[in-house]
Amino acid sequence: MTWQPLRGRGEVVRDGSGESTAVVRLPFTLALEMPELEQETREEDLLDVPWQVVVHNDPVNLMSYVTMVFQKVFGFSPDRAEKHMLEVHREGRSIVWSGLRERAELYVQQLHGYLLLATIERAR
Amino acid sequence: MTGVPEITVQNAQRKVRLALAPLRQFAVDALQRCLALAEPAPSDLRTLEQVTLVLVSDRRMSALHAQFLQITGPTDVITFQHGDIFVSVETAAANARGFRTTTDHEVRLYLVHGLLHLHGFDDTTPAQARLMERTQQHLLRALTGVE
Repeated sequence: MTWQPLRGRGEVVRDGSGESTAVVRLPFTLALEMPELEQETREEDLLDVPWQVVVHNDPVNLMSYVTMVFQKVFGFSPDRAEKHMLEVHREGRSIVWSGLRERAELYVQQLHGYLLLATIERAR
Repeated sequence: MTGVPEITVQNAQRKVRLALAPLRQFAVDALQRCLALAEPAPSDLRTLEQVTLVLVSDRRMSALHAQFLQITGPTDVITFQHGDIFVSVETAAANARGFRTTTDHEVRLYLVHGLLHLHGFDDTTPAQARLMERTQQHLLRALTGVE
């Protein structure tokens, strides 16, 4: 995978004689470069696989309640909280957070406190 | 080959401002302290020539997440065995708000986490995770005075 550096916009500059010259002005900050990930880099080369917080569907909690809990625990916007709630409702589960294991466990504890069904799992 | 790898910091994002000079010094110090730890499993850190902390945006982290784990959305840190540690600074900032820390602290936490993984630590089982977390907190406290 190769990342392309950003390029500035071109503009036309006219000198005193009316001749025009195309000039490309780069943004003030240098073009961002990403290290090139070799095409051979594979999934097996991943050393640190994130943990995920998964919320599961249940027959008890109201949809509005689940949406409120997502906003409260994760600080989601109402739209994002509703998106995850609908995912739980329609698909049976939703990955609501990804990151370090100890944080994922903390979030699961908080969700259990709100009586939601939540687990942690490795990304693969 | 044994020795001390070179560690560099590449800022490949412009979403969040970070003070890079102190972060680069922290990276060097963190690497040295990691190498001083006894590794619980074979350490890649002892054989790598180069470790790179790459600071990215949520968008680029999401692309990595999708490419290598087929998962939608960003995460905080992804570490590769060849020594690249990718950190999403936007996620760091969001987690800082959620956990009442600072973005700088979060980035340092993820860097230490990635270095420990490279040094043979793992968090697959609860026992491994406890050891890794204790070591992580110990390192952060020693390097920053904050847990």
